[in-house]
Amino acid sequence: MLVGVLMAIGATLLWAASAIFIRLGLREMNAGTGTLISLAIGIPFSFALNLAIDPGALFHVPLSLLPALALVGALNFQMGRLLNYRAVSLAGVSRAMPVMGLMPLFASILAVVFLGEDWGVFLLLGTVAIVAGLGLIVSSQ
Amino acid sequence: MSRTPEDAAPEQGEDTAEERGRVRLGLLLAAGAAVAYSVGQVLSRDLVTGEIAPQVATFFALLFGTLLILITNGRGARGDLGAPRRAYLWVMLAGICSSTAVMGQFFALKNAPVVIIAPVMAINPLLAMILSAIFLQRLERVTTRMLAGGALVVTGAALVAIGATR
Repeated sequence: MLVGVLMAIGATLLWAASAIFIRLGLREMNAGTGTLISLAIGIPFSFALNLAIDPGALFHVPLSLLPALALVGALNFQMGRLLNYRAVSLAGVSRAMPVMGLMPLFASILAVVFLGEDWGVFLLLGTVAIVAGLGLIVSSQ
Repeated sequence: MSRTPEDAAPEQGEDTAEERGRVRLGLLLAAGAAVAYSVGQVLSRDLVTGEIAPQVATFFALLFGTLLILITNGRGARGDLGAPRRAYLWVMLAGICSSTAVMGQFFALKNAPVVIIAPVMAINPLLAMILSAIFLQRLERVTTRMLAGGALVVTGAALVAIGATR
């Protein structure tokens, strides 16, 4: 389990470093171009990961799933990453990244509304803490 | 290079109405990004999981996302051909970090339960603020109030993540 936790900490550090790098890069480049380059760089990494785990799986994707995968790609990468990079470019890392902390909250609310999952005390407490935290950050403009 | 006016990042010390407007727009876009990621995550869980492995889904979603951004922003990218090499280096490093992070997250989830990994991943915004305070001193001002806000957001995100995995 310790290996998993260390990997999660490493991944978190890399996400944070990525935001710093993109802030520096987008001082002299459009957010759209930065998004395109960062996504294109990710393709060989993702391909290598698939080869390492189960190379055959890549060639056994049902065709009927492709529209759903395209939709997920549009939401996560075309829209999500582009908006994320543009936000970092405009508001800075220290303000934009905490707002990105809303993600698990939105995901949980969507899961409650559309997937029928339970609305628990953790979600309520978490919502209060996130809203209060964002209030502090936004008001410190 | 075709850097648009709205891409002009606020520098430390600037406190004009224009800069405040840019920050507000940036915060709105960040919320939009969070919504897009969340909808993508829920759709992915609902439509894809169970049919194919997560790493396969990620590969195809990334491929489609890249093609779509190439279609919508390819012309703008041509205008950036003259951008300094350091700008390319920074965004390439960002891409490498993001991709490696996705792999790290994937292997983390294979080696430990979500209930432990999700709160660890939730510290990302606070970590980004700390790195920003250390490495972007000339570009950004990180106040104690902002750090306290970041800590609250992290606590809230961790609570939501724990709640989602129970």
